[in-house]
Amino acid sequence: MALLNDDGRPIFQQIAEKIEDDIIENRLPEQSQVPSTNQFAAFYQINPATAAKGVNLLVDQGILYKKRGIGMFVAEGARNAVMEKRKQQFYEHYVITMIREAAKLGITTKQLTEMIMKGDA
Amino acid sequence: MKTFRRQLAFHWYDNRKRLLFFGAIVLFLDFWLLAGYGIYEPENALPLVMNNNFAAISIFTVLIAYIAAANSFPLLMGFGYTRKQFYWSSLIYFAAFSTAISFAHTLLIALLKLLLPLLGFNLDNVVVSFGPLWYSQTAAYFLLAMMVFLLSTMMYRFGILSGAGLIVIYILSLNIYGTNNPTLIDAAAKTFVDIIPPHYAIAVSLGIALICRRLYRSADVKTS
Amino acid sequence: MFPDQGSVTADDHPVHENPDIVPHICFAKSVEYAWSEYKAQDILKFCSLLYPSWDADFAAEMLGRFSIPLKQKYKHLSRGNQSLLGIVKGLASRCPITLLDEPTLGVDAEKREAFYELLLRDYSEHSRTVILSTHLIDESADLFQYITLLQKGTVTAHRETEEFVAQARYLQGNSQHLGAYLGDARVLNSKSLGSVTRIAWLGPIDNEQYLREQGIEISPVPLQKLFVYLTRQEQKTSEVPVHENIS
Repeated sequence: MALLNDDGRPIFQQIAEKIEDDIIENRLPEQSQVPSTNQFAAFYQINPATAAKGVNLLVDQGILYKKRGIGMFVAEGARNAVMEKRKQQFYEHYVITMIREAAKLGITTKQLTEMIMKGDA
Repeated sequence: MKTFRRQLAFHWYDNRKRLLFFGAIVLFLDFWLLAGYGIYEPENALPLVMNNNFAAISIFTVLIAYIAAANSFPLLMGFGYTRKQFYWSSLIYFAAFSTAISFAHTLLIALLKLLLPLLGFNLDNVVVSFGPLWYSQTAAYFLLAMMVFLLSTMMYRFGILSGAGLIVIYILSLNIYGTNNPTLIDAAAKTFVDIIPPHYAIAVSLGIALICRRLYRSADVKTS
Repeated sequence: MFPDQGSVTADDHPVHENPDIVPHICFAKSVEYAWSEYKAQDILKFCSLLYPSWDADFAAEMLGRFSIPLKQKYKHLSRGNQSLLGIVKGLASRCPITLLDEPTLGVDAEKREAFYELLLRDYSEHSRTVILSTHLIDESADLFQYITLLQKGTVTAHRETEEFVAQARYLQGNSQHLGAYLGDARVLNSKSLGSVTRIAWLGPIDNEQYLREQGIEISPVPLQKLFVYLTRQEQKTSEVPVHENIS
């Protein structure tokens, strides 16, 4: 459990997200090779089948593709695809949560907006 | 079959050091006997050595048969060998051991028969016939191994009391057989003299083997 | 070993005393009574003689990592070293089906980590089925593809690890809100402090959004806790030994 969260989300999903993070931060440029599932498994100390599931998830979404006999590569346009996906998730995970917490604390939308401006400065 | 070869290789590796140690002791004893007593009674020198060796080899046979039943059995079961495989490999093991050790001993005696006269021993009265000596010893040790194997297996499975019971049966059956001296050494020593008892010994061994076969069919492996 | 009831089969062939199957199954225990009088190096020699697929190089590597004293008699080895020797036997045997019974008993944390690493690496390189029983669930859960729960000799659940993880949640919040759920069979445990209740729930949660809006916190239940709850449940037959099944 080297670098994975204990937040109850499936591990394969976390693996997929780690790869996506690497793509966004350009640690994995498009057309570059992604580590093998065995390498992921060894790095995070998880079952190879789980690692494979995470990788395959991205293959299904067209973010990674397989070159037979060589390995997995980052697809063309993957970065944009991931960014779009994350933006949507951003709304669901961060924004909604923020709104809910704000509501709990009695912060109005106007105050919330001011906070955002302040934080951005 | 490969499983037999592997099990026999195991038994060989297991017993190497014991055999070496034992061999050294036997040779030392023989030398001591010859040097100490043989000089005074040269006609008895060879029979003296033979009896000593016979007793020593018998003890060693008892040891390895016991180890096979009480320790090698659970060990081999832990390595993925079936009971059937263990049973048959044990029979082969004892047969091979008896044959080999009695060959070695007979060879030793034959060599002494040749060498001792050169050292001044008078051995004219002693007759050493290689074949019969080898055969009768093989039968004797094999029977001994099978008996101890049975005894050890009974004790391993059913406890010490069953072993004691078996020994009682053995002593009683010896009385029926008609020896005056109910000791194993004397009873088996008869095989040196008469060619018929070795066949008898082998027959009894096979009978014991059958009993063991039934025992091993459903033997539990003790884990403590 | 003799089955008391039921049958053990591998690929539909009965296992017991079957000379075709038994050699392909390696059962490594953390304590082997039959090894008492032998030195570790002798035992390893036995392994190399008795297992046709024995990988001596891998065994040597493990011996180095685990620092098992070779010239000591087995009975004089520490509990941890005895377990580690069992691990060496199990992993280097290269048997297609390898069972490790409580392999980490008495082993310190560093060596346990080494074991998990070696196990994972070897499994990645040479695939086989490894079934492992352990009491240290949180530590090793990620290694498992499947977890099998046994209670009193019966298999009561056999699922992918992720299924257990995905469906075990703590719901914490207002006792009144959660009171409605208490009768449900999927509630494994409940605790209250003042007007706050926390229940452990095993099952899908369809209305997560709604619950959060109600102010109910949803957090994951660690696997080990989950299995404790399952074990304690009288009605649901659940179990503690966790089996890892990789194939």
